[in-house]
Amino acid sequence: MVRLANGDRRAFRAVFDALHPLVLRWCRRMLRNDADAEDATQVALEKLFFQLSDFDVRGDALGWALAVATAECRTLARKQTRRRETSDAPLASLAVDSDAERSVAREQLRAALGEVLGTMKPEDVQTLLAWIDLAPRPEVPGPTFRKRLERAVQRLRGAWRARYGLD
Amino acid sequence: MDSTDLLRRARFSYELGRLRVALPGLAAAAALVAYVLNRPHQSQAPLLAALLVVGALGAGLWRRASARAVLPGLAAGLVPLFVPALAMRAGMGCGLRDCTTLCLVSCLAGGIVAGGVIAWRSTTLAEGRRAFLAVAGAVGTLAGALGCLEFGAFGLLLLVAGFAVILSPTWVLAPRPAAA
Repeated sequence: MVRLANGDRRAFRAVFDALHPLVLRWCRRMLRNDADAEDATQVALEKLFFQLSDFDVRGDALGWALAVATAECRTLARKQTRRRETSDAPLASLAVDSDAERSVAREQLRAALGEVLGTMKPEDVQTLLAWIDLAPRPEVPGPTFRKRLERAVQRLRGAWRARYGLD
Repeated sequence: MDSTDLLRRARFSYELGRLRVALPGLAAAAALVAYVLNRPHQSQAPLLAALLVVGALGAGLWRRASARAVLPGLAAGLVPLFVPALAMRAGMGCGLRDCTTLCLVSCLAGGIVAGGVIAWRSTTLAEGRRAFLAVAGAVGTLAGALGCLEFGAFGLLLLVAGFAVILSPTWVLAPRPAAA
């Protein structure tokens, strides 16, 4: 590897033959999946040979090679986790798209909202219901109603967060 | 992907990596050449310029020792490139027979100074000193030749002599590379 780093291309085949199985074994151990390990090995070897001219010949060649391979395995693992997360999203939306699922979700949401509203002051609940036209609007000036509504929404948010841990 | 394909891709990546190492020297040589060719120049200057650019690229791609010699070689070559021009501008009378000697001497002196800079720089290297001296000397000579070309073949000869006076003994005294 030192010879190749110094530009001696005759050492290329020997370095490749030594590194390929080594990096592949390392990636298999890290990723525990043959296909992923082969992908990571390919990218790792390409990066490794690209950066080889910068390799400090006084350093540990094996350690350096495995560090490059480790970084590549981690990147691949991270990418796949992300891909799995994003590929789950369309499935979730498909499930909600069906009418039955949607009505169940709506019922659950309504029940959850009812529980939260039960913990709030009746005046706040009255204001919120008046806002969505489910109760008569109190006889107060517009700005006063808006102020009450703002406070009621804030309290609803706080109560929801306290019960379910999210907005 | 089979092993042969991966081998080919790894080889390509390696050559790309070497090209990346060669790029700073190549860019500096190209900039120098662009500067020289944008000014009034001798008809042989484009040939020397092409040799300089190709040499910088080749040295950058070849070995690590040769790649790191390109920039110091170019920097040292600036001395013989500009000293004769400065001598002319300073009114030393190049063109008049008596004073032409001074301009020729500036090529010799430029070569000696540039050779000295390269020799001094080589002493900081732990290995690859001979390759460094050879490549930096060649690149410096080519860069300097773009300036001394104004004074014809004799100017070039003095420039080469200036480099050789310093670099030859340094090269002989430098430790031989260890057998691979």
